[in-house]
Amino acid sequence: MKVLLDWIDNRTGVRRLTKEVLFENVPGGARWRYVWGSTLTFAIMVQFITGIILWMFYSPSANSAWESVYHIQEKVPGGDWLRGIHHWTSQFMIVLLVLHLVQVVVDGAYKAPREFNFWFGLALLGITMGLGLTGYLLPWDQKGYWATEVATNIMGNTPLIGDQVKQLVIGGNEAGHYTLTRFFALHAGVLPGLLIALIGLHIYLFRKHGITPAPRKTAASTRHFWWVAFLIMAFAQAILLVNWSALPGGSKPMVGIVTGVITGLCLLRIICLQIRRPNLEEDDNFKPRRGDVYFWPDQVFRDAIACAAVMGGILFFVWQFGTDLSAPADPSENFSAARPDWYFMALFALLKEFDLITGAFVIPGVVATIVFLMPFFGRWKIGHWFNLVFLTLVLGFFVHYTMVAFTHDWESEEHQVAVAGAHKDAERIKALASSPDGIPPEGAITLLRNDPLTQGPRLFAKNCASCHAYDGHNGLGNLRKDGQSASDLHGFASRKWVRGILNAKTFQHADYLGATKLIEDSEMLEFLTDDLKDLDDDQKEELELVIVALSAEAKLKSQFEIDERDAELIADGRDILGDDLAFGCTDCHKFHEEGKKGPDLTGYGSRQWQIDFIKNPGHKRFYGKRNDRMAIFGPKYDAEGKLERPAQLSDEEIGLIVDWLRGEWYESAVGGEK
Amino acid sequence: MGNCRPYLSNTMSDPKTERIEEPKNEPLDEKPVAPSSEENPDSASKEEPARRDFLQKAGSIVLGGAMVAAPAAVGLRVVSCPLFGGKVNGVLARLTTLDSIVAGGPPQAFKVMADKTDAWTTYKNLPLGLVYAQRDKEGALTVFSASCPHAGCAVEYRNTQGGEQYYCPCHESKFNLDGSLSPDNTQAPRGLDTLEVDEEKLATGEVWVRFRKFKAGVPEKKAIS
Repeated sequence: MKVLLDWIDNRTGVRRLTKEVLFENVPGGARWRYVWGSTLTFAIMVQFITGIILWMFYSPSANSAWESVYHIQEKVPGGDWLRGIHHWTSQFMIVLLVLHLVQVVVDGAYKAPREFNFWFGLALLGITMGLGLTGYLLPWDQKGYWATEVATNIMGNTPLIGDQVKQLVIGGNEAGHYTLTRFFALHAGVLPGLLIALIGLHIYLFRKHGITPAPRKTAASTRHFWWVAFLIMAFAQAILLVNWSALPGGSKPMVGIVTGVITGLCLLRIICLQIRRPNLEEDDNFKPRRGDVYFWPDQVFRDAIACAAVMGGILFFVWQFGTDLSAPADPSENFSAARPDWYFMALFALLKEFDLITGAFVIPGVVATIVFLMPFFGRWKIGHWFNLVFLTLVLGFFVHYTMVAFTHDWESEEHQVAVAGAHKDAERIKALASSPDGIPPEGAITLLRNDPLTQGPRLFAKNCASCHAYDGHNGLGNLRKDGQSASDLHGFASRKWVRGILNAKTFQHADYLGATKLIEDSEMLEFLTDDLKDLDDDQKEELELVIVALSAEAKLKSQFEIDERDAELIADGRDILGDDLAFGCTDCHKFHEEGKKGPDLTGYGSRQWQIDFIKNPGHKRFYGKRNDRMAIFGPKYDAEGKLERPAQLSDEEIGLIVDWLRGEWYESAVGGEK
Repeated sequence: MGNCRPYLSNTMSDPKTERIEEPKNEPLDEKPVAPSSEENPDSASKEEPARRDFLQKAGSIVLGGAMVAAPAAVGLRVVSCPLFGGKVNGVLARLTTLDSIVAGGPPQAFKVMADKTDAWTTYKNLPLGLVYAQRDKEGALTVFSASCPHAGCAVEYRNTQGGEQYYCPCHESKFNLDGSLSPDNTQAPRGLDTLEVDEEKLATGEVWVRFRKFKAGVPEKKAIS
C-alpha cells in the first residue's frame, strides 16, 4: 500500500497537494463564521451530482421538456427526491451566498489585497442567479414559461442592445425549441463551466491571501454583537407586527413564536453580559489570543457540521414542500399566477413602483456598482462603516420589497384564484398524463387542450355565461356579471332537470325558461298549467315514466347505472311519450318515428343533439323562429344556402362544452376529480 | 487602517511551506506541528488533544462523506432505474392475413406495427421492427425476427445462383431459408430467431406474432423484452 502511494506521489505530488489543501493555517482558531464558503462549495457539488443525473432524463424541446420532467418527477423511482434536492439546493445557495457576502463584508475580508477575490465572489453570485433564471424555464411549465417571458422582455429593454440580446438569448423572436436548447446549454454547460473556473480562482486567491484574521473577541465586542442581533430582531418584529394582518393565518403562531423566542434569547444574553460586565472586561486584559490551528481537522469538522445542517434543511424542504411542476407552457392560456422565483420577487415589486428602465436597470445597476466598489471605500475606516450600512440597507430593502410583493399576493383575491386555477390545471394534467392513453407525441399540452373538464368551463364562461348559468356561477366558479337571461345548464337533461322543465312553476323560473321570450304565449306552458294540473296517481306515475324515458335519451354518464337498472320503465315511458293519446307530446314534438314538428325530443340532451342545438338553435328541428337571443354558434347560412359567416365556435370547441355539460371526461380510477 | 494590514499569509504560512519540503514519503496523518507560537488554551492544553483530534477527524470524514453520499445515493438509485424494469413479454402485433402469404413462395418482409410507450411518450401504431414471414409447400407458417443473432443488424433475404438464403450485410452471417445456420456461415452463433405466432388468431386466418428481442451473440435463444 505504502509502496503504491509512494509510486503515485512521486509522479503526481499528491501528498503535497493534500497537505496544502488540508493544512491551511486558520489564524485565531476555527470559527463557525468561516463555514459559509465551505457550505457553498458543498452545495455546488450537490448541484453538479444531481444536475448531471437530471441531465440524463431531460429532453430540451418544447414538446418534450415538460413531459420528461413530469416523467422523472412522477414515474422514475426516487426522481422526485432528485429533482427536489436540485431545486431546493438552488434556493439554499442564494441564502448561503448572501450570508457569505455579509460575513465577508462584516469581517472586512473584501479589503486590500483581496479585491479580486471579492469581485470573483460577486461574479459567482451573478452566475448563480443566472443558473436560477435559466433553470426556472427548463421544465417548460406555465410558471417557468411566463416568468421567462417577462425576464427576457425586460432584457429586450436593455438600452441600445436590448433587441439583439433578447434574440440571442431566446434564439429568435419567440420562445420555442431554440429557447430551451439555449437555456439548457447555458444552464448545464456555459454557466457551470464559468462557475467552476471562478470558484477555482476564488479558492486559489483565498488560499494565496489566507483567511482574514477575525478581530479579537473582547467582552465589549461580544456585547455589541448581541445588541446588534437584538436590534435586528426587534426591527423584524416591528415589521411583522405592522404586516400582521397580511400574514397567512396558518403561519401566524409559528412566525410569532420563533421571532419572539429569538428576540427574547438575545435580550437575555445582553442582560447576562451587562451584569458580568466589569468581570469580563477585567478578564480581557489577561486572556491570551486564541491560537492558530490548521484547516484540518478543526475547521473541517465545523464545515462538515454546517454542511450537514444545510443538507438537513434541504431534505426537510423536499420532504415538506416537494417540487412544483405546473401545467405545460401554453402561450394561448393566460397565466395570471406568473411569478419569478422568490429571490427575484423584490425586483418584481420594484417594477410595479418604478418604470421599467429605472426598476430593472438603474437601481440594480447602481447597487451593483456600489457593491463592486466596496473594496475601495474600505480603505478608510469610515468607508468600511459606509459599506456595512449600505449592505444593511440593501438587504433591508430587499427584504422589504420581497415582503411587499408577497403580501400583495396574499391579499389579492384575484391572485389567489389564479394560483388555485394553476394548481387545478397542474393536478389535472398529471391525472391525464398518467391515464392509460399516456402522453401523445405532440406533447402533454394537447391533453389539456382537449380535456372537457379543463376547457369546458372556460369556453362556457367566455361564450355562454352572459346568458346562461352553471349551478349558479359562470362555469369557473366565479359570480356571473350579467343578469341571468337563460337556463341554468347544470345537470341539463338529467332526471332532475327534466322534472323541473315539466313543471309549470319551475318552467317559469329563470333557471329554466323563465327569463326567455320562449314562455310568451307558450303552448308548452299552457299544457303544463292546464293539462297537468289535476293528475290522478296513475297519470302521475305515467308522467314520471315519461321523465325517466326522456332523460334516458341523453345517455348521461352520471345516470348510466340507474338507466340500466330502469331499462323496462324507460321502455314503458317511451311508449307513453310516443303515444299521442296519452299526454300528446308528439302533437307538438318529434320523438323518433312519432310526431313531425320540433322541438325534437329524439336523443334529447345526447351529445349529438346538444352539438346540433348549439350550432343552430334556430333550426326548425329546435326552436325554429321562436328562438330567443341564443346565437348560432355554428356556421351561418343565408336563405340560398350560401355561407354568411363562418362558425363562432369550432366543432371541437362545441364538443368540449357539450362533453363538459354532460360530465364526459377522463377520470382516473383512484381518487379523481368531482 | 485597513489598507495597512500586512499580508498575513506570507508570515503565517512559513512553517507550513518548510514542512512540505521534507522527504516525500512522510505519512499523511502525521500532522505538522501547529504553527502557533502562542499558547493554545482552547485545544492544546485543556484536554487530551489526541482524542479530540481523532474525534474531529472521524466526525469530519463520516459526516462529510455522508453529506456527499446522500445526493449521490439518490442519484444512483434514479440512474439505475433501467436495471429494475421488468420484462414485458414482447408485444402482440398483427402482420397480415394467412392467405396473402403464398405457400412455398419467397419470404415476405413485414413492418411490425403496434402501440408503444417510450419513456413519457405513448405512440399509436408505431413501426417497431422488421420480420420475415414465409410458408413452406405444406403451408406451415414461420415468422423470423430480422434481427441478426450475431450482433443485431437486420438480415436480408437473397435469391442468388447459390440458392435462397438470409444474409446479414454487417458481418456476413448466412442462414438457410429455414432459419438454420448455413454451412458457409462464419459469425452467427445460432440460427434466426423464430417468433411465436398466435394460434387462435391463425385459426381465423389472421397472422399475429409476439414481437420481441433476443439476446445477440450467444448460442442459446434468450428473450430480453
